Formats: sequence, structure tokens, C-alpha cells
Amino acid sequence: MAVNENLKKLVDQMPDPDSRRMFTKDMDKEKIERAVAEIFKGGAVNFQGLIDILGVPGSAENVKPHYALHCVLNHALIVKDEKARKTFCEILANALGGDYPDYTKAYFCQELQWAGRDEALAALGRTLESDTLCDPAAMALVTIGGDGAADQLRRALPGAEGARRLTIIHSLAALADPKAAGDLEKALGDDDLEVRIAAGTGLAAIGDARAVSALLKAADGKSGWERIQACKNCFVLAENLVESGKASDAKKLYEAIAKWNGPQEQHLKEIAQKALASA
Amino acid sequence: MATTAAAGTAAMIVPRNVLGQGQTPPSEEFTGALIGCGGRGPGTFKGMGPNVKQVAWCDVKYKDRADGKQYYTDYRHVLERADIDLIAIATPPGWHSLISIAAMEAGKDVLCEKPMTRFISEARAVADAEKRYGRIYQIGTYGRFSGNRRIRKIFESGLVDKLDTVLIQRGGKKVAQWSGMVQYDVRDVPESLDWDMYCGPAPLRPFNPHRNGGSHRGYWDYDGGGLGDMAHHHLDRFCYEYGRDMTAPCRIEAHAPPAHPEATGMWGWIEFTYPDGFVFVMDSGEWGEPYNRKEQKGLSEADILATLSEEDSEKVKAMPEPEPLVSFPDAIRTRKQAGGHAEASHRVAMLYHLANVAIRSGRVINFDPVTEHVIGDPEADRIVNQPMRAPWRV
Repeated sequence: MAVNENLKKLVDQMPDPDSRRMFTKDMDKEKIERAVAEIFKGGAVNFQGLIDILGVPGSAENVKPHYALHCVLNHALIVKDEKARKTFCEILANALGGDYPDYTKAYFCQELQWAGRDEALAALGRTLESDTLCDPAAMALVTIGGDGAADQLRRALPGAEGARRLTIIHSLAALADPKAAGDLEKALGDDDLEVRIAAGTGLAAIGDARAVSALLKAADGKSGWERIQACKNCFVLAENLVESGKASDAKKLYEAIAKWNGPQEQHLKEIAQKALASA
Repeated sequence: MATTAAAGTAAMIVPRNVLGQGQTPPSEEFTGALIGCGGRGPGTFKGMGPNVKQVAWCDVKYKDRADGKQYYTDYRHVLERADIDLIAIATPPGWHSLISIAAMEAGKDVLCEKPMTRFISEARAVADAEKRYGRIYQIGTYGRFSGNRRIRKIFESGLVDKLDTVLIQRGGKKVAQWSGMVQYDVRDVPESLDWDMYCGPAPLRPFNPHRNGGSHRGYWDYDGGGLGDMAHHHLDRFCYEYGRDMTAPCRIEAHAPPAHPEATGMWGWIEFTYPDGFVFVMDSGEWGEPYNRKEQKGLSEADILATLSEEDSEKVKAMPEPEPLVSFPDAIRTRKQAGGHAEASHRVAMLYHLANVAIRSGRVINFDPVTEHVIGDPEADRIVNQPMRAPWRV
């Protein structure tokens, strides 16, 4: 699509990088803000136009549009224009399905992480299927949060393998999504050590008493990094159970921890003993 | 091989974590590892005290020399070693929370370079881990150790609830120096560098040498610009003296041009207002007009005592001064909390993190010091707690 000349002129009002290729000289706040507000006034046409004039990442021709895009999206937040924010984010979300380099699409994910809400969820969910964009899409979903984001991650899980599977389990854990508890419990037996640890982290964060035996089992017989992380998950679950009034379930964890004798676990044993003494 | 080497060292020096809290090892010598061996690394390690024998070096640029005995690229393998008592961390700040927490989980004590973390939620997690595991944590800056304890005493009394105090700090933030590049070439990753591990919890970006090796400070992915580098130094003493490490500001306003999404850049001043009326200003002196809304005032011991009733003022005067702060070398020996412990350091770090939230969002930030979240601006609150790339978590 041809980009209108007026938009090009406004984007050109953005600052030039200095000799170090940084924005440290001649940063004229008023001038930048005036141009940003003017672009913003142009609405959807200009939002799409900003996407269309993005250059190769890092290149001289990308500097101004890249900065302008972020400033204009942020302007919607500054002036609290929900309609414009939503419109811009819908355009960014659509662009995730367009013909742009992956690094540019990662930038769209990053901007949706900055300002996106429900309107971005479905497109980010579809982007989880990309090996190269799964990470930025998942980070945006975790940031937006809520049931809708968790739904997208859960939906993507069955088809995900390798690094994408880890990213999705990791993200469901970060959201402490109770509907993912079953998937997380299954993932405790995964072949990938990091998937197992992430699953335990999620179950600990969800804080359901039904995870007590699963997390103790996940720590049992493990060594090294996995054991350290599995122990932490037991502690976090115990704390969450105490906080939600399930002290008797927490006690089961502390009783088990108090019997641990690993070479780096004396301090854990002492903490558990203290917790039991004060129960 | 690694096990054999570890066992050999352990035979000479019994690690403290094997003995548990409150027990004296047969040797007053500790074993330590340095994670992040560039510029500040050796100095940070030295800060752990004179009786620390270095047994491991870990850096993502050690792909060419990692042997799993002394040299590592992956800190997780260092933390697996039961023969190491202490961890010094001098990596870029994107790693600080992860390594600090994991080290405490593994029973180690931690001395961590400033800035404490990248984001507020990461620092909260470090403070929670310190409490959970009962380990010693000290931030690698020591301004509070020379703080005025007579002023501190007034705030520790809990009797001050209304102040008319303004403190203005000018300069010293290296804002232009630690800005990021907005135009760059994508280069091949050097063979000795594990770039994926370097990026760690941050997005995996194409490699550019400016993102690595000190100038990492110019990128939000890893640090917070000049504030990340310098603010903890400037704030530590002030936060201690004026009891600002027991609370947090509730309103933050920045004067800055619109921020770049990846590269840190220029700002003029930041005004923090605390619930008790205390106003603190950082003026970079590097961009825009100097801060001129208010004049500095009300900072002396007498000024602050004057805000109290006569009866309360007498109560404060009768109180003993706070105990001198405990250094890291003394803390690891006595198991007393170190002066720059994680909870206090978190409150200091919160100031520069909140400054960056205000700079990046371009909005006035209303902050709840109890929940540690932004009020009424969910998108600005996202900068308080950014997600980590898998598999990294705190």
C-alpha cells in the first residue's frame, strides 16, 4: 500500500540519531510530541502506514518509523483514547499474519505486549505456532494475562513440541492458570528437565492442595539443578497453602522437607522445622 | 571430573551450608564463586572479604575455556556445587534476580552488584527469597554504611507522619553515556560467547556488540540506562538516612522526551512524592531545563524533629541510635542481616525502577507502596513486572 506523503513528513520529524547512533542530541520533546499527536489524529490509515514504512531492523531507514510507531501507540495510552488504542492493536495483530520479516513481527508482539488487550489474543495465539515467534507471542500473552490469554496458551499446547512446548508450559506456569493444572501435572513427567521444572513452578503458584504429593514426588530422587528447583516449588506451594488457610496440607510438605538431608539442604530443613514448630 | 574436583576442595574447607545456621566451621575461610567475570567482577568478588577462596569463575563468554571444574558458562552448574559458600554476581542486571534467588535456594550467601534487578517485581522476588531461605544478601554498593544514624533513628521511631522536606540530587547519572543505539548492524555472534545465555530472560535479539560488555546498560532488555548504573550509589545513603527503605513513593513524574521502545535515552528530572509528603528529585542535568518547581528544604535532624510534637521529639531523643550496619564479611560470619540486605535494597531499587516506568510510559505514575503496583494504569503496571523468556523464572 502506498504511504501518504504527509505521514512520511511527520515521521521525518522524529529525531535523527547522533554520531554514536543514539538519541542523545537534539531531543526536542515538543517537536516529537506534536508530530506524534498529528500522526495519531490520522487514525487507522496512519497506524497501518507506520507499519508499511518500517525498514529493515537496525537500518537507518527503520529508525524513525520504528520509534514513531511506538510513540504513537503509547500516545493512545497517554491520552487514554481506548478506541484508538484498540484500533492500532487490531492492526498490529492483523500484521502478525502478514508478509513481514520475523524480526518485525517480533516487534509487533512487543508492541502488543506494551498496549494490547483482548483484541490481540487470537492473533498472538496463532503466532504461538511459529518456532521463531513463539517466545515473543507468549511473553505478550503472559503480560496481557487473564483467562483469554491462558485459553490461547492451553489451546496451543497439544500441538507444541520442543522449545515451543517449554515456552507454553512456562507461560501457563507464569499465569498460574488453574485450568492448566492437569496439563502441568502431566508435564511433571516430561522428558525435558526444564519442562518438568516449569510445570512444578506452575503447580506451586496455583497453590492447590492436590499438588502436594505430585511436587514431593517431583523432588524425590532428583539431584543438582532440578532438585534445587523442585525443592523451591515445594516451599512455594507450602507458603501458598498457608496463605489460603490450608495449613494442614502445608504441614505435609514441611514434614517431608524436614527429613531432607541433601548436601545443600540443611537450610531448607531448618526452615521447615521452624515452620512446623510455629504451626 | 567436576565431582572429583569438588570433593577435593570440600575435604580442605567444610562449607558453612553443610553445617547449618549458627554453627562455626573449623575454618574461618569461605569458598566463593564469581558469576559474571567482566569489568566489575573481580572487585565485586573482593567485596566479599579477605577470607574467601575463589574456586569457580562463570561467564557466558567462557565457551572456549569452560571445564566444569573451575570455569563455567552456565551458573546453574556452579550452584549445584555443595563446596561453595558464597556467590558474587557481576553479570548484566538481567540476570541478577535469577542468580541471586537460585543461589539462596542452593544455600549460598550472595553479594550482588548494583543495580539490584531490571524490574520491581524481580527485586521483590529477591527480597522474598532472602526471607524464605534465611541467607545473607548484600547489594554491591555501600552508601548507607556512612549514613547519619541520628536522622535514621527519627524515622525508625515510626513517629514521623507528615513532612515538608524536599531533597534534590543533581547530576552524576551518566544518562547520555549509557544510552542505547537506535541504529545498528546485525553481526555474527563471537565464537566464545553464548548469546542465548547472555540474553537469558530477555527477548532473544539479533547480536550487536553494543548490547554486550558494559554498553548493555543502554537497553531495557538488560538494564535501565544511567539510572541502572548510578542511581543505587546515589540513593542508598539517602534512603537509609531518611527511612525511605521502609516505604515507597506514591507519585512519580518524569520530565523526558518520549522513550524509545528498546534503547534507553535522555531524561531531565524525576520527582518522587512519598505518602508522608517527602519530595525527592533526581535532576540529570543532561537534558532540558533544570528542575525548578521546588527548593531543597527541611533535611536536617532539627527540621525533622520539628515536625513532631514536643512529647514525641523527647521520646526520639531518648531512644538509642540504631546499631551500626553489618558488613557482608561480618554478616556471613555472624549470620546477622547485612546492612544492604535485599528488602532494603529493593526499596532503593524501586526508585530507579519507578523513574524508568515514568520515563518509558510518559505518564504520571500513581503507585501503591503496599501492593507495589501502579494504580489506575494497567499498561504502565506491565513495566513493573515483565515476563521472562523460557525457561527463566524467579
